[in-house]
Amino acid sequence: MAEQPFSMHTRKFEGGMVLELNGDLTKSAEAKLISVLEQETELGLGVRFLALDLTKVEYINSGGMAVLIRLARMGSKAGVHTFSWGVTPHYEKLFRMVGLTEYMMIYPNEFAVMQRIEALNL
Amino acid sequence: MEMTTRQKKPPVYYNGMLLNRLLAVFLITMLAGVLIVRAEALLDAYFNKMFPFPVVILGLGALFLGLLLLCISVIRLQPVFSILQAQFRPAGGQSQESQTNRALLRLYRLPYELFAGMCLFGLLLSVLFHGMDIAAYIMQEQTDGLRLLGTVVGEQGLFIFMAIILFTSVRRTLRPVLMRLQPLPSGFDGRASVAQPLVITYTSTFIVTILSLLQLAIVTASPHEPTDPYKFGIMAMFYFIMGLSLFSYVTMQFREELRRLIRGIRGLVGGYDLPRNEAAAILHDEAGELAVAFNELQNRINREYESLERELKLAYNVQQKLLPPGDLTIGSYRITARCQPYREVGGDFFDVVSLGPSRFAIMIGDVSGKGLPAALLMSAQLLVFRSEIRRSGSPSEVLARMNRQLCEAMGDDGSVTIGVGVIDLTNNHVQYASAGHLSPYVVSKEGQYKAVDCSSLPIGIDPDAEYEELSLQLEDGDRFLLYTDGLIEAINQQGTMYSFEGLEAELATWKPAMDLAVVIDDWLARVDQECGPGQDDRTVVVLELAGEYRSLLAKLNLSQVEQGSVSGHFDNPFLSREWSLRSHLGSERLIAMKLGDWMEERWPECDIREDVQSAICEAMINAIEHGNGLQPNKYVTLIAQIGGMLAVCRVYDEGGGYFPRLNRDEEEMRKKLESEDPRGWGLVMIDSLADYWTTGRDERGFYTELYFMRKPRNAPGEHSI
Repeated sequence: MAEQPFSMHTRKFEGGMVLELNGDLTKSAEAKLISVLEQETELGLGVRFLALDLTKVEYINSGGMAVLIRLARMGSKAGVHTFSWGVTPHYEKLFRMVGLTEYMMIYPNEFAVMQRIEALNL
Repeated sequence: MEMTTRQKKPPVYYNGMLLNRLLAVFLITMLAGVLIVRAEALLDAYFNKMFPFPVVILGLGALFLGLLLLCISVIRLQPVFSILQAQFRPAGGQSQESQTNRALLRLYRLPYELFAGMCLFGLLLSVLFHGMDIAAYIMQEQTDGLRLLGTVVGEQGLFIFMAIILFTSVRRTLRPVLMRLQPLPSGFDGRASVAQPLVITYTSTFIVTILSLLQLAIVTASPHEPTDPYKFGIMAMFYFIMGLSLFSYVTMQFREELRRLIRGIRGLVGGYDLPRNEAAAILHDEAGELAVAFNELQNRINREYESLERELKLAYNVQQKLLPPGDLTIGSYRITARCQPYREVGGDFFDVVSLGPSRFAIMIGDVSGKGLPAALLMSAQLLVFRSEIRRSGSPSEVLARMNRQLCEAMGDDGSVTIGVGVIDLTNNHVQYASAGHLSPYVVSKEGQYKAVDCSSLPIGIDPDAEYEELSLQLEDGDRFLLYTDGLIEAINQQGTMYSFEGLEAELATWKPAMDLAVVIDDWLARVDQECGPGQDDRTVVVLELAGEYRSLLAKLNLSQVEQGSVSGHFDNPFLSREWSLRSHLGSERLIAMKLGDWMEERWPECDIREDVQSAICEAMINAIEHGNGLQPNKYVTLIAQIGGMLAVCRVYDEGGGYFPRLNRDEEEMRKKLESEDPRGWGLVMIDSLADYWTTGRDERGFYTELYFMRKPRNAPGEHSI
């Protein structure tokens, strides 16, 4: 399988934002991902939850892992909770391995993430 | 907009400025004439005969004359004004060039025209004033002929003097305009010669002085006049000194231009930082011609110099490419080598050659002499060494063979000092032989050092020379130092040589905990700072036995058969596969997928495909990024072998290598996780996903080797993290 270019689509929900990630998650995705979070937190638009949809991400390497760690850590510093769904068991294993799960909760699907966010919102 | 106007002065402004200056020159010259007349009149009543008018009339006459000269100048300089205006319009090609020529001609001629006009005007004025007297004298009437002659002579002296002032100052005023109109088209007339102004000022000064003296002689000869000859003498002296000053001024101007050229030529001889376009500010006289010739010479030398510099740079690049990387890792050894050529190319060299799975050789050499010949010999010797060391034999035999070849090729014309060490990775045993090279040092991790004395003649002197060889046993943490004499002979600002004492004092400060490359770079930087670039190349090669690392396949608890078969399988095309890729991030994924497909085919019951793929991707990313520095012309090669129970994958790169150091303790992992720029997860992933991994080097280059065990799905204890 050839290299899939990274792309991203964002959508908002009350108190948060969903980032639908597409393609290969490598170091080259860093600028895009980080700038979205920086924009949101700097504007103070009250983003408290960041949900990453990784369903369409087939490949994550150490560079991509580092980007996710940076994103989740930046979020947690700014008081933003990070969630994700659509992570394959292999990558879930890798996320645990590098300690990413300390900053990013992994759920099986969007519904579960939203349930959790609702519960936190209450 | 206003800024542009200010920067590029409009022609009207420029022309007006020129005319103002000319008017000032004319008026000052005329005023000087009036003053001289008045001063002479005050000095002696005799001079009253010259222009016997009140000061006001004289002043008005001077003003009129000044304005008249300005009008003449405006008419004569018309082509100059139009060409100056044209400079602010788009270029006009051929016609503009002829116009420039015409304008330049007018500019050059104007001072001469004014000079001649002034002299003629003086003559005419004298004739007009004294016409009656001259007529009476001719008619034999009662007129004092001598006195009349004296007055006319005095008047002419004054006008010629004013003409010189005009000539010199107008030339000076027009000079910037002349420069502005450069470059001059070829074939300009001789008026630009520096000889003409010199001759004119000199001759005029001479004539003025003679006229003054003639006047003095006439007055003295006149029997009725009670005059003071000293006063006439003072006047003559005044004219002489003033004339001489103007003459000196013209001469000095010429001298200044010559000096500028001489400075340029000196700079050219010096060879560096050549001044460019110096001639642009020089007029079209002989100095200008010389400047143009000089400029051409300078450009030619610059071109030659630049091409030589380019070639040397190329030679330097070739030389650097011949040398191995400065930081290398081989088994449990780390090698740091630095070669600083004194000029672009040098005669120092070093090499590290892998001699199979358990041996490698290091070498340092120094060719006698410097510059290109030394560099050529160095390149040849490096290649000879590579082929000879692979032909087997001990270091002393290699040196003997190299010596014979060099003696045959060069006779007595080149000698090279070389130190060669062959290291056995299995027992850390070093065989070392030296051909006239400085004694190496062994520095233990406790900080003790000792010189290894072993030397024979340099190669290239005696074809039958034999080379002494000795054996050393390196211990964990030992550093084996090879260096060249450029370091020992470095001289600091106080004039003290670095010497062996300096080297030993440095070795005593080495701490085993400090990274070897940092230690060496810091050391050489300090030597550079203290001693400057010096007069010779400086090369240092340090071999460090980093004791913490051992390649232990035994860790895997493999059977002897599996262990032994690993290296054999790599050569078996049915059991191993190979892929190469350019160093471009992203291309590693496709190769990893292919490996994954093959693994699924060979071990269908295993579910480690994704782990293998991720780990191999990380190894390849490391090779692309760190090994090959993302240079697309360098290749990463993956050789994989999937056996019955074990899969071994080697990822080769063309870089210097690294130690497989990875600290997995909790604190270190937390630090990594919490750093602002979390990196270095590749090795963590490799370490977690592969059952075992190591690094090494062989003839193909540096490799990272990953081992994967065949395990059934959901095997217990899989990847305990």
